[in-house]
Amino acid sequence: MKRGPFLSITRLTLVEIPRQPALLLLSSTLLLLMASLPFLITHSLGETGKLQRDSNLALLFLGSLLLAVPAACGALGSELRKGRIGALLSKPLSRSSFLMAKFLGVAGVLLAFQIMAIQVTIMSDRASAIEFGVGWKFIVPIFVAALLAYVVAALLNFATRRPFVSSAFWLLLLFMSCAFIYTLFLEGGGDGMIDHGGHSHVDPAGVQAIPVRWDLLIAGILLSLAALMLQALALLCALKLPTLPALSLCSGFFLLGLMSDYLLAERAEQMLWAKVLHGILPNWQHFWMADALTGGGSIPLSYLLPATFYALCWAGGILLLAMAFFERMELQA
Amino acid sequence: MSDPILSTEDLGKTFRDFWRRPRARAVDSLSLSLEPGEVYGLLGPNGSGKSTSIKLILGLLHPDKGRIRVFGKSPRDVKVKHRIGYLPEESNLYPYLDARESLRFTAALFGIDPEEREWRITQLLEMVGLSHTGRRRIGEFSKGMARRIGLAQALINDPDLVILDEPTSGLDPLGTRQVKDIIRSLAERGKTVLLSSHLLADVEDVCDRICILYGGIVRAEGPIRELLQVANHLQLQLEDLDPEKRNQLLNLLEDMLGKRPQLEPSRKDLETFFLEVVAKAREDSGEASGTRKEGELAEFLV
Repeated sequence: MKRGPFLSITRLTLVEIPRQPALLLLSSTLLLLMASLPFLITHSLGETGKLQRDSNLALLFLGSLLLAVPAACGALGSELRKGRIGALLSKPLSRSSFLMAKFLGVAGVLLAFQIMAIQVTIMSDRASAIEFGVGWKFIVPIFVAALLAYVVAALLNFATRRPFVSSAFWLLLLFMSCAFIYTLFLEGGGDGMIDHGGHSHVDPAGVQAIPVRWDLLIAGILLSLAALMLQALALLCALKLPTLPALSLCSGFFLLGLMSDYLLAERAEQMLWAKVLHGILPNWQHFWMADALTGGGSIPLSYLLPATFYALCWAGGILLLAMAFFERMELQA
Repeated sequence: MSDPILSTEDLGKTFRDFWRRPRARAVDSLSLSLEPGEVYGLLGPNGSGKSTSIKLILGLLHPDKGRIRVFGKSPRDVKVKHRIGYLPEESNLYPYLDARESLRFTAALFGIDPEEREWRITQLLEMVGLSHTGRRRIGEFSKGMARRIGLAQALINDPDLVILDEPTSGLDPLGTRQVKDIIRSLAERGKTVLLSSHLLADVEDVCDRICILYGGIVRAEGPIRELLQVANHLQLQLEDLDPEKRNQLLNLLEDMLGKRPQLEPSRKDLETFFLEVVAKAREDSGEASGTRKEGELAEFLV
């Protein structure tokens, strides 16, 4: 198929970023940590489900930030400093198209991580739905999927010299999705349960149906939208800063966004500067729905629309700023 | 006379610090004009403004003063870039891609059809002698191999203007010779080549005109034959002259000129000698150098 320059840059970013070993290690570690929470969280006085859900969603959000900054810096910042972008822009490609293509490429990789993280969150939520026990049959497929991804990637590397790291990343997405679909066909948590003392037993209520909490999917999508905003910010930072300073700045925005209501909401009613600042700072409270899920609460699907609009406007504004800055930038080649 | 492919008028560029104070004047009052089918050399020591001039011509840097026209348009015009092939000073290739992937990517940036693209890639890989690299990642390539891929990338769009920044850096003498042959063949087929180098022998071998920069200012400019001519100094080349005739000739010249001229046997340059030795060694070891079209210009570059 004939691809234009825009799609070529997006595709290359999608190919290049997952070849960074740090990205695979970080995403695998985060996913396995999320999968381990049901048996790591003990003695939670009946709060296992909430604690596990909150932790998994927090890891999804924080993980997206941790991945977005190195991915953006790898896709843009280091290329600027190496002078590769100059060589690319000597080809028929405008600077704004280039930046947007890079943004979409990074977003694609992050989306892959977020899909896996949401799947793991739902699976481990089902695993922790059993009081005083762990539904292993919801967790074991996650570990099997991770193991399979690494083994198949190694075999592919041996047989066809395909790059191991990127193969493992994309296979992880494939096998994790297979594991997720497989667990959708499992209903009960009664058989095969092992309690925290390591004793196997059968659920006294027989095979108790553990429903899939699709609300977690919406909560995950909302956090992915918040991560998209952070990614736009990371891309803007990557134009001038190396990875660590960019990560520090984005983390600062992340914390400010968490506290913006607490710091500015009241003042915003009285003072103009506070109102402006409150409007400019990202407000993560719009995207954090973990509390709404506690006690059987749900997230209306219609909430997605204004949240998406807010996220796209904020990310769009940051991207326009990045484009204006990039347009005037002098490039080395 | 046809319109110049590339022209600059009174071009200037000063690098500034954070406070906008001048830090270094990289290019000052550079005026050039490149005609179709010529090989033009930008020559100068390190830091003389060669690479900065090229970046200005490509629209990567913004000039402080002056004007640049490439094919009669601004160098930042995206359409103009369809007709330019550029080899940067540093290869800067994607280390995780293999040679074919890398060329496929560059071809896609120019919107070349997949069928045409694969044909061109095969030819270019043969031309630069890398058709055997298979799925080896570019990160594992030597500097010379990366340079060859860079050259192939610069030619994949069949450009009318080829800009080569230090094209032979990192190449062995064999590779250097091939690149020089390719440059000459490109010019013969009507392409215009702007070449920047500090390797004098390379420039002398391939360029029609040169410009010598020092401190960002043009110090000399013109056809290379004219610039290198030594006034009142002539050279006479004779083949198969036996000792008797040689003495007769010397006596005759001595009678005419009043002093006996110096007579020395002609010498090959080291590059020619080296290439002969390598070619013979290849032949002796039975290497089928003829099976690859190494060094021959790709068919599509017409």
